[in-house]
Amino acid sequence: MGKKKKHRKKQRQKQVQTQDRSTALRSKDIIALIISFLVVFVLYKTVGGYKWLWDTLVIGNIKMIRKYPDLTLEKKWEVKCGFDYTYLNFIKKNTPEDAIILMPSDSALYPEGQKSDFNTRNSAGVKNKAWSTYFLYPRKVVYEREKESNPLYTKVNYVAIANYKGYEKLSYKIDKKQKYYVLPISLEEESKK
Amino acid sequence: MIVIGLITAFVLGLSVINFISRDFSILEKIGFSYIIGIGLETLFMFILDVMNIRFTGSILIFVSLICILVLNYKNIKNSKNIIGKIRHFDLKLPKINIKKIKLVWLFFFILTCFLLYGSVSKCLYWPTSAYDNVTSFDLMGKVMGIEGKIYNSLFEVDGVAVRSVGTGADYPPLVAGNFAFAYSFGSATSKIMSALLFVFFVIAFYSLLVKYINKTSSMIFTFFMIIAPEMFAFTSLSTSNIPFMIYTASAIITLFIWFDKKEKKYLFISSILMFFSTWARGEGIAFFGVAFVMLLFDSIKNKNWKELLIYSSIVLFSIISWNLYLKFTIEITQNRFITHLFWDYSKFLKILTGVKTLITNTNLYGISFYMFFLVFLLNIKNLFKDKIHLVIMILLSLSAYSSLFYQIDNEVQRASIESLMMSSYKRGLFTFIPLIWFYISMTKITNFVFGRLED
Repeated sequence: MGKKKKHRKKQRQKQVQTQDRSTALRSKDIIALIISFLVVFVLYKTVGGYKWLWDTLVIGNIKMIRKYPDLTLEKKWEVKCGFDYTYLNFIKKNTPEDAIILMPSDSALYPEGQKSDFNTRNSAGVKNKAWSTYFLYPRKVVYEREKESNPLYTKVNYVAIANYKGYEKLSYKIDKKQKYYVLPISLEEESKK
Repeated sequence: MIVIGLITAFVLGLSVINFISRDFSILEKIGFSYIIGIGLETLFMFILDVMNIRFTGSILIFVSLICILVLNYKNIKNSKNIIGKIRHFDLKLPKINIKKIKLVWLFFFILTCFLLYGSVSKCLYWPTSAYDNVTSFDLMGKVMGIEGKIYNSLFEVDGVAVRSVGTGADYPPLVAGNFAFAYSFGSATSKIMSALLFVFFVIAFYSLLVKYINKTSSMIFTFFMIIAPEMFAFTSLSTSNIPFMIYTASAIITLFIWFDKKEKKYLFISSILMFFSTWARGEGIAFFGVAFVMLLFDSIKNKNWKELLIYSSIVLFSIISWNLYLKFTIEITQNRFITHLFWDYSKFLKILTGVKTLITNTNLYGISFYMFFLVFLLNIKNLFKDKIHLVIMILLSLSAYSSLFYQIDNEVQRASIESLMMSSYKRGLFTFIPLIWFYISMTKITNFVFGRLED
């Protein structure tokens, strides 16, 4: 009987020790968690980059996505790229896939003394051949400045109009001129369309 | 269809990893399978293009399946044994003892997952709009994917050279090929490719950390690695900088593991990753140069040239083949660099000032560089005993990478050194973020503090 009692006592002691150990570990874990939380919080509050990351890149974007979950790809591009995209998208919708389009010259995009609707902040936009190609592909684009170097210039079958400029390239007359438009270069092309 | 393509790429990468060694951990296999698999898909595109075969999504799947079969030849041969094993396989899922999960690990795991969710959702929501991507990488990827050719209508129309793409199209084809993969399966945008690459890299980084330090510390340092603000911002864009960072940093870390543990599997993985680093951007050559010097010293010391030869021939294949392609197919000669040595104190000073300005800017890289120098100084007593290969590789890589900018001909590049430092150089520093945090995590001084988290 005495042996059994001793054995039980030992077992109880072991259980208590294990419980004590796991409680100590858990409290250590909780302390470490609190410290971790504080470190992250202090970094968020003191390092501007981390605040920007959390507030703008993560939370700001998640909020934006939840606010406009059904925005179409076209609308998203409009938000990001502005009028330059809207203009190119209009051209895309109004020309066949095999079109070779004469794009507006810089003076047409940015007329002197007038505020332009096109991007002026950086190199992106309709003025940039690669940028326009991205949105108009598989259509080919040709610029006035490439007149001598690009053999496609002679094969142009569409003209992009900007700020009422470009109508002079057409082989026919237009009565009602619009500020932004895209038209076949000749009436033959118009009939093909 | 894109899902089938992505799964095929993953299985292809997994087959390569298993072919090298079956001893990689599950996390290493998951992380690196996609990274290697998708890289290989771009290599297939290149080979098919050279062979004058137009690549499509179906052709890429077909080629991948053949490679998967070849790489698993031994398994197929032993299929009877394998089927037998599968029949008698007793599926034992790992028991998760909630009591044993460390709260700190859980805290950083949740934070990391949430940040990844934020990055991926932003990446998938917004279409490509950044200048370099629209005019170069994504445009190139789109046309490559649709026309099935690297040398496509952006360079030539009806036999006449007509360039309609930015200078990024001259970069090696890994990034554009990555996007082309999505377009070849009919996707409207290629953003999923950038998102997946980053997610798998985070898994791979954690899996490598776990080899050295406890799980809680691994999760903490993975978290700190991904929150470098500028780098995190770029993870949701389609630039070439993040893929380059992923392949280069992984290549350097796995090479360090080889130096440290002498397990050959890491040397092979590193050589494949370094191959894709130089397959992503030309700057990869600076990091390859560092790896080459380190391997050369090791070869001289151990009088064994095999490793150096294997490593170099794999990576050089990437550099030489792309440069030959540029010269003979696209007909472009790289002349952005001054090929002779020269001394320009003013340029040197500008680079030095640029480096100092950038690495001390917490808005760009958070506390990464500060922590590196702090740990470096605190560990200076143990410097030569403690992961010295990694420290040397980080410092040499930083010097080699900066030297590349010193050698740039600014007139040909049509950009001042100051502007290059604030754009290209700044983004190139992303590569050092994982390297820095990997080093910080495993020094004796860090382990003294963080090692107690799982006592």
